[in-house]
Order: sequence, then structure tokens, then C-alpha cells
Amino acid sequence: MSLNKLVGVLSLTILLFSCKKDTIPDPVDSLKNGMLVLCEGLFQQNNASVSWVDFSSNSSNLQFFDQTNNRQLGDTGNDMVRYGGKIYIVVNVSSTIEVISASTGKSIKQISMIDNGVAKQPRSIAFSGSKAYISCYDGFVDVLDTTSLSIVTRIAVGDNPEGLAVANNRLFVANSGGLNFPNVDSTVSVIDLATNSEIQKITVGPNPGDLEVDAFGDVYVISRGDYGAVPSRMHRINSTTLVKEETFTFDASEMSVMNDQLLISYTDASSNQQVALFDAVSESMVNTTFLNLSSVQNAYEVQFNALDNHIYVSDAKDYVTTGEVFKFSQSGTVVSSFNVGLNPSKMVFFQP
Amino acid sequence: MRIVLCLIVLLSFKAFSQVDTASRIVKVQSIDAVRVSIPMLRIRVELPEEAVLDRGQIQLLEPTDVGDLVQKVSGSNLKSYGGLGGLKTVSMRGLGSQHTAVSVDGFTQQSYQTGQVNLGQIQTDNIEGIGVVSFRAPTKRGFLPVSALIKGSALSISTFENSFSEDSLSIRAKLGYGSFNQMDSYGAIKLGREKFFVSAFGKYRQMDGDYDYKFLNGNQLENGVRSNNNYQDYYWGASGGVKVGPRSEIRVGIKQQNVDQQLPGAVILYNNTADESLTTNDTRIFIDWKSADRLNKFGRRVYGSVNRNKMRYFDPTYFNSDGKIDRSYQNDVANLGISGRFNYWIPANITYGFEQSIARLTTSDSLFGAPTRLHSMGILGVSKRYSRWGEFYVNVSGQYILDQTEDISREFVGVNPMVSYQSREFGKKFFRHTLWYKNSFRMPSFNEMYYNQIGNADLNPERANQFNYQLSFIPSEKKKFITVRMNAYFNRVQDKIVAIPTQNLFVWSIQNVGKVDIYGADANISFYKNWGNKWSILFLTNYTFQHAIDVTDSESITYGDQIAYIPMHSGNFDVNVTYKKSGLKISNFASSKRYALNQNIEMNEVPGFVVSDIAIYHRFGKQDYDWNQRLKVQFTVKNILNSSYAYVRSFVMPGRNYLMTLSYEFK
Repeated sequence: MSLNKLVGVLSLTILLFSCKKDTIPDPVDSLKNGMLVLCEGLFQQNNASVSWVDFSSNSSNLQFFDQTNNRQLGDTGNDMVRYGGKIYIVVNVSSTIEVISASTGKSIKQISMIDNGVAKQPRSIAFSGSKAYISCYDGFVDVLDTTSLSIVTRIAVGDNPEGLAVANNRLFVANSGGLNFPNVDSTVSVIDLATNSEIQKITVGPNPGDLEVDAFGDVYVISRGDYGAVPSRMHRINSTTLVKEETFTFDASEMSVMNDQLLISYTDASSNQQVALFDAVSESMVNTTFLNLSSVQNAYEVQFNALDNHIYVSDAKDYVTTGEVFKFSQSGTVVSSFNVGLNPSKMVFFQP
Repeated sequence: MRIVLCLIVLLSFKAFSQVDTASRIVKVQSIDAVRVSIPMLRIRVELPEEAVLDRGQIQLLEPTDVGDLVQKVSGSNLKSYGGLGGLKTVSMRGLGSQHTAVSVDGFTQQSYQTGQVNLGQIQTDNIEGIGVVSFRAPTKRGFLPVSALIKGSALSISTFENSFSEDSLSIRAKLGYGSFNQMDSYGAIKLGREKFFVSAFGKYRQMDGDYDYKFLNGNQLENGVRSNNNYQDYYWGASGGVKVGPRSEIRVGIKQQNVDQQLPGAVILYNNTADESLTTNDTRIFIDWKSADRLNKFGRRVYGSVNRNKMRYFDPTYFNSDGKIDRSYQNDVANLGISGRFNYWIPANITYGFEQSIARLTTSDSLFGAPTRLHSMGILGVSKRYSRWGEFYVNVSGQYILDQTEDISREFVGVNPMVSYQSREFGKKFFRHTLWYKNSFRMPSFNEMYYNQIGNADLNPERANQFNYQLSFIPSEKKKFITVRMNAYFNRVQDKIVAIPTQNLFVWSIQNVGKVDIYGADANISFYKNWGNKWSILFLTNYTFQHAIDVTDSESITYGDQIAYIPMHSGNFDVNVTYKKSGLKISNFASSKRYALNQNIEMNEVPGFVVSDIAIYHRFGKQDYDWNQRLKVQFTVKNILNSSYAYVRSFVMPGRNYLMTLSYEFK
């Protein structure tokens, strides 16, 4: 082979290396008749994302945040909640709170949750009055002023707090202690919002995680056990007396409030995922197999949409491929489904 | 719990560090790529079917470490987490890194804890030759250990300090200084006569760490600094050998290596707070005896080694009740083996080998069950050469593995065949066909099996099948200015060991779930020409095509998709031009896009890249090969185009950087 031919072959080879082409659709002017879905992504991949699902056209934009803001969301999205005209996105590994407009999705502010060179690792967010409360894995709850969008104080709680919610002007925080596994925490911290200080720790069960408040001010918290011999359990705390009144005997991994009821996700004895319906008035189980999950490969998040009275279940598939969200009727059957990003979790719904 | 997973990933990868740099140097010689000498037998064996780089080529390539070097071999796919000492692993022919053994001077380097060897911490100053061996008998290439032969392929490295020499005194020394305050110093001395040698050697290198990079965030190119990146390591050792009779030799040696490194970790958007570190101490002792008879009717080798590897991982800001992680891991491995060949009694060559190893992991980490592994390996082969047809070789290897932890005991048995055929030379003796099939497996590592929650003690070995055809074109010695080797292959990996979340994203587990088919082809071309004594030019180039697809589940969305981190196209194009005692060298590596996950969508793309290095050098001293001392000075610019690139998503490589080296050789 002559030298010229050799160079020719090599040039051709280099040309064959494909170039990336991007097609960027026009940004959304006003968010309506659809939902935003926070897709967690995977650790160290910087691929947390927000998908926009348009219900009218049944179409999805998996890179909504990137395209609306010309930058990426970051690493491992953990929570997303709408409060007033803003949506707050908690990005755990990037250690940021992204505040975006609830009408356009455009970034209003990115709040860095890094303190003295240490990432606070925010996990979940809850609201009361003009304040947002953010559980941080370093053992604190940060108080964010929703007007100035700055952190005003930090409240010490237990190790590695997860879920949190407000009832009776008190903030309840699930202290998981997950990073001390197997010697996990088993308490819920109660914070008086008037003084921003912890007033009590209530023992529930090992490894507390999800925490919700029903319409009557009852606090429900799930202790996740050890994912093995120690089962996951739901507990009910009276937000006035601060007493744990009941530990339910069924398995429960996560909860979602639906009017006066709770949707409870769990894995049954045959290792099948189920969503049960629990009556928060009578405190009793209504239906242990409320949703027909046969179409869902891996139910990851269950949320009730009060705007259309339907239940939405995100499907994380095998956790390494893009997911799907299934829409269920109140009779527990699938109505439709939508493509979304990697590891879809929290959803925010918009008026038709 | 995800944090725990991250930790395990960090630990299993051992190291994430710095920048490119360093250089090797010295004599520039004519290309002699496909020959390797086996000093003991004083014969030269042709190995046209396997990729081999000798010292002359290694010096031309200026690698930072063995990882850089292996990238120059077709069929290889390097995965680098960036920088000096940072984790680098290589997958040969798409099989995955744990299917490739690394053998240094006939001893397999192993980590039973992680199952992989960090090529970023095997330096190249002392390397005399490196080859990729897929299917040879134990007798070839200086008696590869059985533990390397049973793997899908093996990197075989021979070093200066452990080889007999014809010279009574040899010295090698090098000094380097470069970007990021990198300092590099190496020295080795070897004394010898016909009958013995003794050598002493040592190296120190360090770097101040933080490097600039560019990172694509959405459609904006951002500048960043990869921090927590200081690195320091040193090693020292001594070896000796004596010839007992005309064809029998014994070698012994010790090597001690210490590494202190900060772990910069992945580049996380909006969060640059890495502060973890890792300290490694590694000690190896070996003894090696080889002998052969006068008529070359038999050869045998008895070898043994012990290795103690201690690691300490430290995270000063972990959110547990201690506020930190401080864990120690100690891996102890001992090996004893025998291998050989003979052609008595029957009209064929018989090759055989047996090796026994015992490995133990002890750790301060309560989540491990203190595993011990007994691994017995045997291999038996027959080769026969027909003057009309060529050479046939068949072997069968058998393995027995017994794992024990505080509360688990598991056994594995494996029997694996291999068949090869190499035609005689044809077409003016320039061409040759080689066909081979190899069946092999890799054991799951201690991390994969026994790390609490994530580990899965029920794992089975990951199995690999390789079918390879090669056509080589190597003109005879006198006219040899060009060599061409082309491979086409089909490989299948079954029971691939994959980490997947189970139950929820917090509880991951390792499972035997994957199945991968690899359709590959590669071509390797070397070309050398000189014009009198003044000008010469050398091209080293290769191209690798790998269509490695997920065929685990035909219902899956990723069925038929290219698997993560295998580029479809990659290649090298290196040119070296010399004029008298000066030279200019341009080295280019290109990779097409890869996917960070198996799903082939745009969001998972890791962009393709081209990285170019350029170097100028000048040699002082005599130009011919009968020199007895030589000094060389070289200035290298790495990543001269200042490309923003990453082998692994979020592990960004450094931009343009510089290195000055001064090297000296005496013999």
C-alpha cells in the first residue's frame, strides 16, 4: 500500500466518526394541560432531567429543563413541588435548589446548597407560609424564604433526614440515619415553626423515609426497615399530642395523599408491586390491590392529580432506560401512558 | 443507600486522579514489532498473530502508563477516569476489563477484591516489551502463568529489572517536569555477567493536582477545575538471577509501591467539593525457576509469589454519626505454579500447567464477610505443526474455586476449551492465516459477591466465547518496512455481571443478567522508511471496529443497542520523523461517540473525540546501536488541540498540558 493510500484510508476513517446533531424545539410559552416530571437520572451521570408531557397532543419533551434554560439540571433530582407561582426542584448530588417559573419553566434562581465547601445534599422540600423547609443529608433542615429565595436559618435534626411535612404549625422530619446502616435512626423530629427549633423526637421504627400529612392533620411516616428481615411499616403520629398512635401491620414503602385517602405502595409476598387504598378517616385498609399494575414494569412514584381526579404512576423500568408514566382511573385501570426520562419520580400537574 | 453504592464504586475503582504526562525516552530504533526474544533460550520466536510493542516503540509512544500504551493496540478499548494514577482499565475485543489478565514478568497481577487491575498505576519506564496474548501455549512468550492463560486475553509485560543482560553494567535514569507541577524521576541499575544479574530500581512521581477542563453543560461550554487531585507515588525494588547450568535459571525479586492520592471523583455539575483520598501500599515478592534441555525437547517453569496490598480510603465529610469514613482493606494473595512443555514419546508438543492461588480480604469494613478464595487452575494442550498445513493447537483448562466467608461457602468448577490454527506462510511467505476459538470465564470479584446488600453471593462466573480470524502480512526480515495485521471476530459474553437496582433505586444488587454479542474487526499497519542515515519516518496506525450489542432480552428497549462505553470506531495514527539525532512525533487517538448507558439515545451520548500529542526530541551521543551511553531531551505537548473530552461521562480529561523530560541510558 502506498503512503498516499494509507493516508487516504485513515482520513476516511476519521471522517466516519459521527458528529452529534441537536434539534432543539421551541420553548413552551405557558405551561398548561400537561405535567412536568422530575427524572432523577443516575449518580455521577449529571443527567437529572425534567420531562414535559403535553396531554392534548400526548407528546413528551424529555429535555424540557435543558432546552428552556440552556443548561442541565445536574446530578440526581430528588424532589419537585409547586408552591405558588414557582416550582422548586431539589437536586441532591449537585446540591442545588432550582427555582423555576410555574408558568414557563424558566429558571428564576439556582440556590447552591454548599456550605463551607461541604455539599449539604438536599433531599426533600415542604412549605408553610412564606417559608420552604428542605431536609439536608448533613442532619439539618434549611429554611428558605420564598420571597428572597435565600436560606435564612438551619435547624439541626437527626442523621440523614428524608421526608418532611407541616401539620399544626409544626414540621415533622423523618430521620433515616441511612448512612449509619445497619445502625439506622428510627425517629421523627418535631420542629416548632414559631421558634425554628426541635421540640421533640418521636420514635417510630428503623430507617424512616416517606412522611405525609393527611387532611385531618395526622402524620404518617414509613419506616423502611433493613430491606430484609425487618419489614417496612407505616406509622401514624398525632400532630397535636405528638404521640405515635398506631403502627400498621401491612408492608408499606411509600405513600401519596388522595383526598381523604392514602395510596400506599408496597411489595407483596409474591414480590409483585402493589398500590393499596387506605382510608385515612377510618384508618383502615380499603383495597390492597387498588391499581392494576400489570402494564407497569417498575412502579416508582404514585401521585394523585386533583385537577383531573386521576392517579399517575411513574415506571422506572430497569432504572437504566428511559421511563414511562401511566395514568390510572379511579377504578384502578390504565387510561393512557406517556414517555418520560430516566427514573421518573415527582410530578407537577397543570390545568387543562 | 445510594451513597453506599457510590462508595463501593469508588473503592472498587480505587482511584480517580490526574493528568496525563510523563514520558519515556531513549533509543529510537528501527521497527521490530513482531519479534520478541526469550533470553533464556537465546532464540527468537516470531509472533505475528499477536500485537506486540517493544521498547523502541514504547519510547516512541511516550505513554504515561500501561493504560496509554494499551490504547495503541488494536482491539483494545480503554476506560480512563482521568489523570495520573487514576483508574484505567482495558477491555480487549469488547469482552470487559475483567476478562483481561495482566502479567508482569510472568506473574499475574490480581485484585480479588475488585477483579481489575489499575493500568494507571503500572508505569512504563522499565518496560522492555508488552504484548497482548489471546491464545498461545504456556511455553510461548516466556512462559505466561496459567492464571493469565485461562483469561479471555492477557497483557504480558517484561521489565528491565527482572531480565538477564549481556552487559556487565546497565543504567537507566529519567527526570521529568511538567504542567500541574508534575515531577517524575526514575532510576535503575543492573549489574551482570553471563551467569547472574542483580538490579535495583526506584521511581518517584508527584503532581499538584487541580487541572482545568472544559465541560459541555447543555449547549454551553463551561470552564472548570478538577480539584482534590494531588498525587504522589513511589516504588522501589531489587531483583537478582543466577543461571544454574547452561539452560536453567532462577530469579527472585521484591517490589514495593506506595501511592497517596486524592480522589477528585466525577465532575458533578454545580458541586465541586470532592475531598476523599486513598492510600495504597503494595508489596510483591517472587521466585521463578526455568529450565530447558539442550535439544529443546522440553522446558519447564516453577514459580511462586506473594502479594500484600493495603488500601485506606478516607472521606473526611461523610454524613454518618462519625462524620467520616476511614476504612482499611488488606488483600493478600499467594500463588504457586508449574508449567512446561515436552515433545517426548508422541509426535506433538504437549504443554501443561498448574497453578494454585489463595486470596484473602480482611477489612475494617463491617459490611464485608472476610472472604477467602482458593483457586486451582490447570491447563493441558497439544500442538502439532505440519509442514504442509501449518500449526494446530488445542488446549483444555480446568478450574476449581472455593470461596469462604464467615457464613458462606461456595464452589465453582469450570472446564474451558481453546482451539487454534495457524497456516504456514504463503504468497512469498508474506501472508499467514490464523484462526482461533477460545472459551473462558471470569469469576465475580469479592466486591461483587460479598459486599453487604450490593454483593450477591449467588453470582455465577461471566462466560465469554471468542471466534477470531486473522490475516497478517509481514514481509521477510530484509524487506520489512511494513507489517499489516487484520482481525475479524465474533464474541459472545453470557451471564454478564451487571449492577442493577432491585426493589428500588436504593437497593442495588449485582446480577448475572446480561448477554452481549460483539462483531469486531481491526487493522494494524506499521510502516517504516529511511533515506540514508539522515531521514527516517515511521507510521504506526490502527483502526478498531466493534459492534457490541445488547442481546439480553428481545423484548427490551435496548435490544440490539450498542452497549455502554464501547465505541463503534476507534483508532490511532502516529507519525515519527527523525532527522539525524532529532525527531518530531505526532500521536493521535480518535474515538467515535459512546453511550453512558445501554440505551442508544442522544441523552446518553458521550461525544467522540480526537486527542493529539506532539513531541520534539534530540539525542546526544552516538547514533548507531552500539552506543554505550545516550542522553535524550524531549518536550511534549499533550492534547495540543485543547480538546474537551472524557472516556467516562463526568470524568473529564485535562486540556493542553506540557512535559519536559531528560533521560539517560548506559550499557
